[in-house]
Amino acid sequence: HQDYEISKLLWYLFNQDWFYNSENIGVKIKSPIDLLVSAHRIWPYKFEDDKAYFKIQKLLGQTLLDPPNVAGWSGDKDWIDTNTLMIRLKLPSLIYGINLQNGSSVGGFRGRKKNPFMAEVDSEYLIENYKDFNSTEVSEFVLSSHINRRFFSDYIDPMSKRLTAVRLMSLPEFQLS
Amino acid sequence: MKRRDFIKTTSLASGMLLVPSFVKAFDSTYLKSQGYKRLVIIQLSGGNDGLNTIIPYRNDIYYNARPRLAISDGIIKVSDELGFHPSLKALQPLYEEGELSIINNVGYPNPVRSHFKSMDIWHTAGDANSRLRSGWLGRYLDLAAKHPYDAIETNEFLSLALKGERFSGVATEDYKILYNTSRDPYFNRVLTNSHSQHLGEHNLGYLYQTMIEAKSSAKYIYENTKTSSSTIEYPKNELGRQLNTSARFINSHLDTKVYYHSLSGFDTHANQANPQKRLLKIYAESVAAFVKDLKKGGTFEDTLILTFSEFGRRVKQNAANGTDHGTAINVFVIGKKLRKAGFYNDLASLEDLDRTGDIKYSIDFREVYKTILNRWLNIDDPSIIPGNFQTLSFI
Repeated sequence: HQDYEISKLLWYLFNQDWFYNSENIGVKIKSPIDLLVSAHRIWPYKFEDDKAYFKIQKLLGQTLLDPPNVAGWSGDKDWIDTNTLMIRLKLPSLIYGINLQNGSSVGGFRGRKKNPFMAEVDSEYLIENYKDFNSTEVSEFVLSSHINRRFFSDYIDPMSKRLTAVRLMSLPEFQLS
Repeated sequence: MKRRDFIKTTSLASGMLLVPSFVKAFDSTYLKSQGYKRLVIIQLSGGNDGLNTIIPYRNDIYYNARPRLAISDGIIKVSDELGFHPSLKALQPLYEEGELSIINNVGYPNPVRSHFKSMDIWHTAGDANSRLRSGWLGRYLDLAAKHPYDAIETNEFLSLALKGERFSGVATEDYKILYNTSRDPYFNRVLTNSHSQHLGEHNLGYLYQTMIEAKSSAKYIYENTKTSSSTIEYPKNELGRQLNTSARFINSHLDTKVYYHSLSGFDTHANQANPQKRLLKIYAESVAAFVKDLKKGGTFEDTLILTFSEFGRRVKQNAANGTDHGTAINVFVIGKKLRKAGFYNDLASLEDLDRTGDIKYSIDFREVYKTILNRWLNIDDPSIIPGNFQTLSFI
């Protein structure tokens, strides 16, 4: 490892068993950008208005390429206060325009007017991309920790991967990576 | 020993859980009767031109430095040397009642002329060299607050000033929307489920704890705020709305200690006259309505209002009929129990400017903060404002 090759270091890391130990998974609080990107990886979305990206960054306390000082952002718990947490929890249902209770779509012009964070999404994406998996298995793509079986019925909808994904992204657990 | 002291001491000794609730209720009444004080902050963002706000109307240097921008008509001449910008008319009664104190030339050494950096300095009570990441009020609330709603900012974003090492205030433009969001049935289900889980774990436990606090803050504010419509008319603008909301909270006797507001648009590099005229009018009329509302609610006595801007502007006007970033500026303090109302100190001499032609500061803003902390909020802890600063005597 003396040639400082990052790819070699990463190859080594990713092949160690301890890297995958449960105590190392799902312990770090995602930065605002982590959060936005991790949602996008599960179900891609695009804001019509570019300003929405900046507004969310500002609300959550991380504007890209503009750190408070050369040390960057302090991160972890500092991302979270009562305001930023509420926004983070609410964001997926706003972005995907889905009612968390019954899965109905909140859309149309009126929906957009009230909700500046409603994005364009491909509503068939989840069905196509996860066609070999059921809703419970989809949950494993969304969260890095396991949901207690007792609460499955509250979060996982066997009939709707869309609703399952958005509900899980609306959990405090989704804030962790 | 007075009965109140006895009960207060024993309740502390026996631990809150063992104290019957009627005694706890009595305990908070005791604290309130001691003079429960609240602080209201109004931030003028962009760097207000202090020299056209408090005008040295007899000074030739002022008129020579600003051939087109100097104010000459309609100045409200409140003293022999200084007058208000005509837009501050609504504040004149406050001045005459002795409820307004103007502290001139407030700043700090090696002034910074960048908006973000200077605003950070005012928020964190730092200086040009410091890198403090928590706000002065946040650090005060780290010690004095029990709940996030002990500081409320009527805005979408929480200012750094209200972020402590552990404490963070509540930022909300509309407390009713906040309340409805917090009552979402799905989130209630999530919280109920969390009760039966072991959540001691580091971050997950912290997240759920914060979620619970968010919900209880929203509930506290909503349930305790009286919605009977105020009969005071506020101007229909950004600051008017913010102050109207805060007055409602204050007159509902929320336990909140700090209320934060901001009015932006003061960065007048070009064609300053009309924007500043408009903004100062918004400021004065909103504050006048707010004070009237608090007086009506009987809460003005316990409220202190501090207005500041991140810097003033240059003495000489520029070619675009505006002014560029400057240094020291005046700070307004409004309240019932001012020790020195009117002009706390003289305006700095315009013949003795710093080497870049800007006003030299004579009072460090941290002295203003320290005075408010010691004399108004009754707290004296060196962790809040780093450095040694004197207290002033405006309160």
